[in-house]
Amino acid sequence: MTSTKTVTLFVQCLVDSLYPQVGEAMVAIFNKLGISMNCPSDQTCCGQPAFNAGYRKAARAAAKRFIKIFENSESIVCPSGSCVNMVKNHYQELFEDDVKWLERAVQTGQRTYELSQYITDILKIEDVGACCNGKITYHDSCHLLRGLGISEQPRRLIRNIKGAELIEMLESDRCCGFGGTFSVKYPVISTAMVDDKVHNIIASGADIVTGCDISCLMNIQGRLNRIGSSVKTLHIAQLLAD
Amino acid sequence: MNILNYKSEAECAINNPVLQKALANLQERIGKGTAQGYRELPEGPELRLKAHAIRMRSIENLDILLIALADGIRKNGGHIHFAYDGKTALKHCLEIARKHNVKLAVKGKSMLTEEIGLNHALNDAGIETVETDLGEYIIQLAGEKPSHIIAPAIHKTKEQIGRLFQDKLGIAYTDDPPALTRAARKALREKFLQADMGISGCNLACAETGHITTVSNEGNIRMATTLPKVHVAFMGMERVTADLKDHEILFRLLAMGAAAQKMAGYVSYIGGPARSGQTDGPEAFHLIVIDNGRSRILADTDFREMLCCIRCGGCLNVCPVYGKIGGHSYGYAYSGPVGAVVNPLLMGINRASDLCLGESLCGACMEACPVNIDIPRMLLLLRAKLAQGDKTWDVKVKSRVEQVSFAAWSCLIQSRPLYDLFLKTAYHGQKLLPRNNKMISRLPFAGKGWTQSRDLQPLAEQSFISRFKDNFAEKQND
Amino acid sequence: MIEIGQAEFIGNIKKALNRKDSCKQTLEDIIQTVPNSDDLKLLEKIKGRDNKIHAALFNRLAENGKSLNMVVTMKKDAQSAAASIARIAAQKNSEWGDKKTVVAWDHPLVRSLELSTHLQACNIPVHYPDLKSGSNQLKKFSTQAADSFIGITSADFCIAQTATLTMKTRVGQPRCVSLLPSIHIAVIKPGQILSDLKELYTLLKWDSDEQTEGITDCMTFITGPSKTADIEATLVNGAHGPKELYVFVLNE
Repeated sequence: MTSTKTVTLFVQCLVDSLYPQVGEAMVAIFNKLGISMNCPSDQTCCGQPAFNAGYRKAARAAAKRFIKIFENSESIVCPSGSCVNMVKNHYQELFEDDVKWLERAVQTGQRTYELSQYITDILKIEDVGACCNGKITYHDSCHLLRGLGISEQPRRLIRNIKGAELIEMLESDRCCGFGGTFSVKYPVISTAMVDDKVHNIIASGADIVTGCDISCLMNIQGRLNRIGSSVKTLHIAQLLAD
Repeated sequence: MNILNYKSEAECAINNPVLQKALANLQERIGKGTAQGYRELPEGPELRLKAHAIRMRSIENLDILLIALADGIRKNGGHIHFAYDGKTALKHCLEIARKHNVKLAVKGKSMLTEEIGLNHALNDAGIETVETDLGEYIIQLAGEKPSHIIAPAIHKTKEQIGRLFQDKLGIAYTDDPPALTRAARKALREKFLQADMGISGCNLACAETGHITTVSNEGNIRMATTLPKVHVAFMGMERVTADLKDHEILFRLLAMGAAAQKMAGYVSYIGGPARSGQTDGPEAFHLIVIDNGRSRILADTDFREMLCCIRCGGCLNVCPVYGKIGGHSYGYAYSGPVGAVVNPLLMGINRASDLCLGESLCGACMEACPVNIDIPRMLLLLRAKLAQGDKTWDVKVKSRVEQVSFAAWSCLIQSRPLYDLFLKTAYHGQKLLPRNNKMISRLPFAGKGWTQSRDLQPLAEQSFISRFKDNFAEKQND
Repeated sequence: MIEIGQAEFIGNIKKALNRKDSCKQTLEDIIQTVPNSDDLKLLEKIKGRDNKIHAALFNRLAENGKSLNMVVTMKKDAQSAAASIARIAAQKNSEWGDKKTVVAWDHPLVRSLELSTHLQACNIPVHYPDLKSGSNQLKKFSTQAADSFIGITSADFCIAQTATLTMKTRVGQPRCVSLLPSIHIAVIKPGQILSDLKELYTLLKWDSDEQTEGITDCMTFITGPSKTADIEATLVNGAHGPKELYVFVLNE
């Protein structure tokens, strides 16, 4: 498989620092698909943590930096729904009073894609030739689902993994309770929510829980590990890379 | 007004298995039913956008609509009073009660009267005031506060209600919902037939015809507005719509948002007292229109959208946070996502800061909203005011420590070398932290909340960006 | 407490909306005041319906009524409707007293049922509001309604889409008949069935008779019998209003 397309990797800060293997999986997928890549080495964070916590000035500074780094890229691909939602939707809110930056934000946002969305909707590929033996359940992360309207794309990719079986958990579209600083500031509520999620994951009978956002998965994995569950947590990129 | 105790109330609710079951049941039945109902609408869920436009247009012409409504009500022989704050509204109501020598008032469910504390004021004036919505009646007997806009007693089990009725109504214990409903029906019928004053809220008013409307499934509001000699209706000033035909869409969506119904059991248009020759209906009709902080919301175009809300409670039925913490945690008349925006705007953003921050921003509320209100957008704006302070809304900075942290974070992410240095230091620092199955099991400082119940993936020795530089970038260049 | 009058209250809103003083808009500038071609077409459509279409609307109404525990049946004439009412009256027990009594609207269609005759056999009196009497006598009717176990009304329309009866309050057609008795029976003609709420609002807004009458001091929509789900979200019929609701459509 070869393609003339080049993607620019937009690496979520959590992937960069905590889960580099997810980034490497994304690289492996694009290598497999014959897509050439570049990855701006000065990128840091899209600004979402500051935006969600209300620090709009800091978020705006991060956004400007992001736009400067990425605005000349052909396609910007990120393994995180919430970061893409930030760039595509919230940047416009940040710059609503600044026409010049708003224009640049819109232009950049239009070329920014979440990984599963890019593979299915742009590359028109639904089978990336991955193998994985096991029962997989999929968690719909909130901003991916409700912000970007992505729910079928990752499911199609998972269904086409050789040896894998996609099992739907109950309420896959219900928030896992992460919510950024919410999980730290309101741990009791957040835990009650992730407990419901973990309950549904375990009840599904799956061996692996996956999703398109490492932030939610980090929350789920953190709880699964604490209660000593054997269910594995893997980002969708990790499943598709094998 | 209540002092907000969000975290401890939330914890209480989470540790109450009975409440947890009730909330799950509510969300399972009504929340999912509503979503299904929207999909089955002939016009599809998009109809909500049309409803949003109708409501926005009304809000943006509120001055004109209220004048027309007032003219219409007067023309129909009714009285209209305008109250800038809750206290004035109470005063109007008490004056009316005094004039008509009212001893007993029957009430339909109205969150607005909860907001202004009407029952308390009437009781203080020696007027027995009976809630007649079954759920409200239950919590009034129990001396509690409503925990849901539409299903106020959702936090109580049938066994608890059985014991309550045994105690307060003197009936034999039963936990059979139909039998309990019959007992309340009988007890309240006496009150309806004796009452001198009927009190209702107002779901939507119609400027064009000069009517208010009331909605119920039980028929209690029809009772309260048909039998007593005086009817006093309370209306938040934003509830008026311009055109009669606006109601077609709004009533269908209200019923769907509130109870997953195609249409509510009873909708009544009330435009004044009974005409001569009629055997029932009140002799006097009074409408009290209340501002109580709403014009302040109206003036801020960032939050104006919140006035579109028709208080159906639909957002409560899907919110994963409400689904865990229940209504009492919100500490004010309005609970759930709507409460998380409205309460801070009405009672003070600093005072209700936990409501703005204690949400996961999942966005489920917006999809469930019959008028498609962007609640997450406004929660984010409220957070911005708490983070940075705001003069218009008299908001003080919530946390200087957090402000400094984000300023530091902002510097850090502006420079990749600096950021890398930070990651490296933190990587070495985290070696001091205890582990569980390779994950960090206890974090210091602000991170404590996380590891209270969860482990955390440790920082990688080498960041992805650095690995990419080392391993992949070269390969690609080859 | 800040006491202000209407002018100041509205003034605050104007300020909040940033209205210029020069803005002299009135309600007529905001609402639709003339029917458009779609409205007129819909009015034509409603008026031009034949028996076949009415029958189809009836079927839809009956179907939608089912899930609401609302019984919608076709009766071939007034006689047969009255016989059904007599059967119900004989079978059901009185809820609020030992004696069975019925209240009914003073309405041509209801009068045509000749209820007094049909209910005489089981010794059940029928009370109608006495229009000629004074106000004290009028009030008495509410008490009679409160003691009755069946209330019989007609309706202005019945909406098939939602199974909703609509009724304005008029002299001789009190609200309490559809509210206080345990059982509410509404008798209508097939031509009163509308397809959906849009048709209803189009008629209310643009039909000349409806316009002339206005929506009165109280117009009520009734969808199914009274219900509540306030105890553990369990549906129970008969919270405060009628426990049972029947709609008889007279096909004559």
